[in-house]
Amino acid sequence: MAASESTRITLVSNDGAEVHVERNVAERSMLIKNMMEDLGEAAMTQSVPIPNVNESVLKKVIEWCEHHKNDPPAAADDDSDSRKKTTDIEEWDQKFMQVDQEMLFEIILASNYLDIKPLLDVGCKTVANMIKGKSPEEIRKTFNITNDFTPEEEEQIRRENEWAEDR
Amino acid sequence: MSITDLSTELLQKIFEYSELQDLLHLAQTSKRNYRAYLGRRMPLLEHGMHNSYSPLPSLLKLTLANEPAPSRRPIGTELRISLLLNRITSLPATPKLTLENMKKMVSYGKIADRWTELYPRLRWRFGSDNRRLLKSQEKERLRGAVYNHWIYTTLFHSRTFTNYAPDPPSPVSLDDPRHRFLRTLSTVQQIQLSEYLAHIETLVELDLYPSYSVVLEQYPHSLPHRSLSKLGWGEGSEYRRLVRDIMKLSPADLLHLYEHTSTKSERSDFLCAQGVCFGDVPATLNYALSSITNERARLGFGVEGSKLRSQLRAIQFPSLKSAQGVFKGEEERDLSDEELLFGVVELQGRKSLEALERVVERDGVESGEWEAFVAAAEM
Repeated sequence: MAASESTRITLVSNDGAEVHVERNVAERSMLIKNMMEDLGEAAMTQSVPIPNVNESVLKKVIEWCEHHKNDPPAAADDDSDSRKKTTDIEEWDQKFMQVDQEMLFEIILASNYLDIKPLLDVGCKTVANMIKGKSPEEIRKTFNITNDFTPEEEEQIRRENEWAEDR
Repeated sequence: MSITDLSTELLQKIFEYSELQDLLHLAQTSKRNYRAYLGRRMPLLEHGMHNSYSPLPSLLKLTLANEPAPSRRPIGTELRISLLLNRITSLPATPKLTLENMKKMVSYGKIADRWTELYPRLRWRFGSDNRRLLKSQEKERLRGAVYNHWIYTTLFHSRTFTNYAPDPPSPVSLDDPRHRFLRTLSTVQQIQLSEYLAHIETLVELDLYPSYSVVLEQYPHSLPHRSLSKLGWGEGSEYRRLVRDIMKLSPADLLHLYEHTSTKSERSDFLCAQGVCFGDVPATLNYALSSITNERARLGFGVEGSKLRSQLRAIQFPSLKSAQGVFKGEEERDLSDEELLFGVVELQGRKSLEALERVVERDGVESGEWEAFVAAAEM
């Protein structure tokens, strides 16, 4: 439907901000797409509440959807296809993800809630890249994780996984 | 908002995208992260193995090729190789991995991983302006070539096998095990293996075991003969024979030579310890590869349709052009991109050949038997 491309809809974030967005951009979110189909014409006239996402995150997510609105729909990506997965992130997405950790995890949560699989993938890959080559202690520092193992437990797990270490 | 606020499901998704070591390090950070890992341990380990060391089927084949035979009874080399080859080729395309296998696979994977770091220096040896790190898909292709090369050296460049069959396989021998193994590779895998082979031959000739003329190139003023013989490894046909001998070495041996030896005596000692320098038995991979690629070329690579057939020029095997050695002394240039369209590195022209690549990336023959190959080609 060519007409729907320029149709704008209104999303409302959990902090009450109205965000206007082209329908086909918003429909990168499978959640919104399904809602639109259920609501039909009503969706054009009334605003759509997004109760789990605040304004700044919603705007950031929409910025991503805007850039990727013409991407081909993701191939049915079940686990059998995992062999084709790579950890490379395209350049624009890398720049897009240069945000503080707070925002990074907000984006991951929001893309999971809104069901935008490619954005969720980019978010998870970004975190995976952040831990690349780091020791457990360095990872704890990076993400503020509290070590709640006893030294004995930690040593046991370390030994269990020794086979994957460098030498 | 932090990583500790993510659900187990999302944590597991991050695990899925991590390389093996990173995955295990993240799992070790806290009880909660460890539980999230334990909840899907085997699938996550397989993802980690894939992200770090894919292609896993080739890696598993390499691991099995290095396993001692299950039978204790002494059997002849021919039968032993044939049994081993059957075992390797009968692996399913997506094999189930046991933890025990993964632990063994990692040691081979790490060597392949080192090659992916070293490779830019080989691929863009002269044109260092183009040099860059490999992308993850390119790394995967290179690791595949390393695994396949290594399977070949394990099976067919071993002392036992070269004693049993010192000569290269005859091009008309249809059931030679070396031909059977190479037939199980797709044409694209063979091209990438050939590219890797061309690069390691250059590595041997320019860096590890240079001839007199290569050494002289590096010294503008002439070198006294005594110094020359301390650096170089000879000249002419005798030198070529040495190179053919050295090409029997496995990826692990070559990497060791590159990373841990610098003098002629160290390299000489290494060869002698391998028993390479005594045999005067040539490496056979390039011969066997030449026969198998001719076999496929005769059948037009099983490609249908004139449009695809017209693109067959893109199928080139870099190592087969260097019968007289890669380095000829006069020109210093890398392999041209036109020769490497289906090679390890992603090139501009590759997209337009997608349809052809789809055919020749899956034309390997399951058992490697000649009959099966002909039947597959005629389908």
